[in-house]
Amino acid sequence: MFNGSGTLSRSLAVLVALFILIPMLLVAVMSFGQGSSLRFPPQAYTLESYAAYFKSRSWTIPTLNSFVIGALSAILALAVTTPAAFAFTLYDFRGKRLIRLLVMMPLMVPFIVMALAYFFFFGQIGLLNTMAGVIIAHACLAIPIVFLIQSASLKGFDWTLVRASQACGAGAFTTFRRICLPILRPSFLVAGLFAFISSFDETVVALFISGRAASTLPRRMFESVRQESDPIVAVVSTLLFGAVAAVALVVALRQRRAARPANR
Amino acid sequence: MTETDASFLRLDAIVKRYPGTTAPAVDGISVDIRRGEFVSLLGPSGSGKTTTLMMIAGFELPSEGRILLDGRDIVGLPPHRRNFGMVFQNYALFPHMTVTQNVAYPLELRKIAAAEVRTTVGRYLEMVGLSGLAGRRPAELSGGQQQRVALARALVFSPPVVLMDEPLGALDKNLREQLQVEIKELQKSLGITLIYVTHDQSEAMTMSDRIAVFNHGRIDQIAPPDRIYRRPATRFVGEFVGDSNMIEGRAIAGQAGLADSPLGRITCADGTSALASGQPVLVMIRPELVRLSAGPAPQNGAQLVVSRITNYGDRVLVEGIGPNDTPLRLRVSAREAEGCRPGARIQVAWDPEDVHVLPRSA
Repeated sequence: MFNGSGTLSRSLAVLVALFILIPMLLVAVMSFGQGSSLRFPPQAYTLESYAAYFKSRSWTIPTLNSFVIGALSAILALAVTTPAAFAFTLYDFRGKRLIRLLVMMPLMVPFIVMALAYFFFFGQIGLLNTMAGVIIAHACLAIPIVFLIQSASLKGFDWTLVRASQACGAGAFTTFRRICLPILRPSFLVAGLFAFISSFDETVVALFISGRAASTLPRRMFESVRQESDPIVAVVSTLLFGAVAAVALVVALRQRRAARPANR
Repeated sequence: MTETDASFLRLDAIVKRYPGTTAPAVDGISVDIRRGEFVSLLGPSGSGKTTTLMMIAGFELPSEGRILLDGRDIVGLPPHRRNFGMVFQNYALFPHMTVTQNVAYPLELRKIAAAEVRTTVGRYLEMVGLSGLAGRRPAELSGGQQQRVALARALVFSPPVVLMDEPLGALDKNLREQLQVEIKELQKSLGITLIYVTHDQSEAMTMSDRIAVFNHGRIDQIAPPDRIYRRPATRFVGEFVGDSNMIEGRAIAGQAGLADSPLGRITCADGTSALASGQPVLVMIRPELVRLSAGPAPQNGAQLVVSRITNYGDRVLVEGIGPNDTPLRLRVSAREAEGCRPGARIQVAWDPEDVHVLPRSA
């Protein structure tokens, strides 16, 4: 039915892709430019900004911070959400709907409101400008998405397997470790990856509460653009873009492999 | 036979109520199951048979009553401590494990040495005919093969009791019949005590030592298949198992083996002598035990007007109307049914030994 408009829809898709990609490509081109400020088009092409990025502690430390905060907040979010997702899937209890609403709250409250709340609250309990503070805040922000992904995978889980495992002689903990976890692991990893990305990408809350000591990469980039117009920002953007593209490629390839029928 | 053999597994007045429901799902069930016996729990959906099985397995707790294994109450034991093998309708194989790993799982949990696990698993896979597929994953197997793996997994640790919850329900007819034979042979050769839930009466008939017929949370009758079929205790059993003619009648006083019915006086070989005169009864005659006869049969027969003929290939079902508008069905061979046309008058007869009488209240 859409055969006749094949060319049209394909050109439209290419246009949209270009519209999204061109700003990224501009930044990528600028990252190879010479000089101490951002300019397009660059007068000459070098890798000196890349060298500067990897040499500058004011950039590598926020990068490392972002990785640590992303990883630990993802682990924290998974640790909190996994029991909750199991409980919501398996049991009916009083106040279930209200508690589900509370779990999903970070998705609905504007980030700026959350950021202000963390700013005042963490200030009072001494978590302001600390890694721990940012990790806790980012874990909270990631809870809804992690909870949604885990709930979906638990809903598709065949609970007879738990009974089968028990009938084989396994207690609750062994059943979880040897049956539930291996089957659910891929989707739990995806949930963790989403938590990591949401933390890595998060700027507003980080601006308010991360301070100098726990400065994240997005915060550092924001400061750089405002104060220095440093070409290293373009380097970081290009590296991030490359990393995301690589991850997307790996995921796409794995999905294609999974979609192929199993070899007999 | 010792006493514990006669009641190896005993259900003692089991009741199961679910909160928010009025009628109990299981309403006072008592059964004694012998060691090595094959007992089917047969009944329509919602009759309590699966709930009963789940209480034996330990996945549901009875609201009242005891479950005794070898004289010991096991109600307080969690499922993984009961040491019962279990086979589910949807196979419930662990998808991330190979066939071998699935079957080895119960042995590993029992801390059995790797070498012994390997030989035992090999032996059981051979028993269910899957030696060649040991390295496959469940997703790479057909339904019948998957259920064979589940069978091996349930038997591999030599459990004292094996429970099966409609294990063949998802398979097509030919495969089902083949596996019925295989399960029955495994059960006999290994001497397994097997409790088998099914709603398929022919499956229960062909496999069981005894059948417990469930009706609204109670057991209407528990007896060997032949007895269930020929001498059902209640109208429900007679109608659920096999096809039947049920004719309402009355017992006749002092005349053992006689009942009045709209078809006239019917003689039967058992049952009526214990009944009081005039007591309402049901006279049951299986359609395949009614035959076409040449001449009139005054007591053990009737004259019918044929109303419908249905050819099933192996047998033909003839439906007719007898005296006093009483419908009667008979199953005969296609050759015997040749002369029958709708509207034709036919003479039918039966043997008094094939007539069963039961109280109408039941």
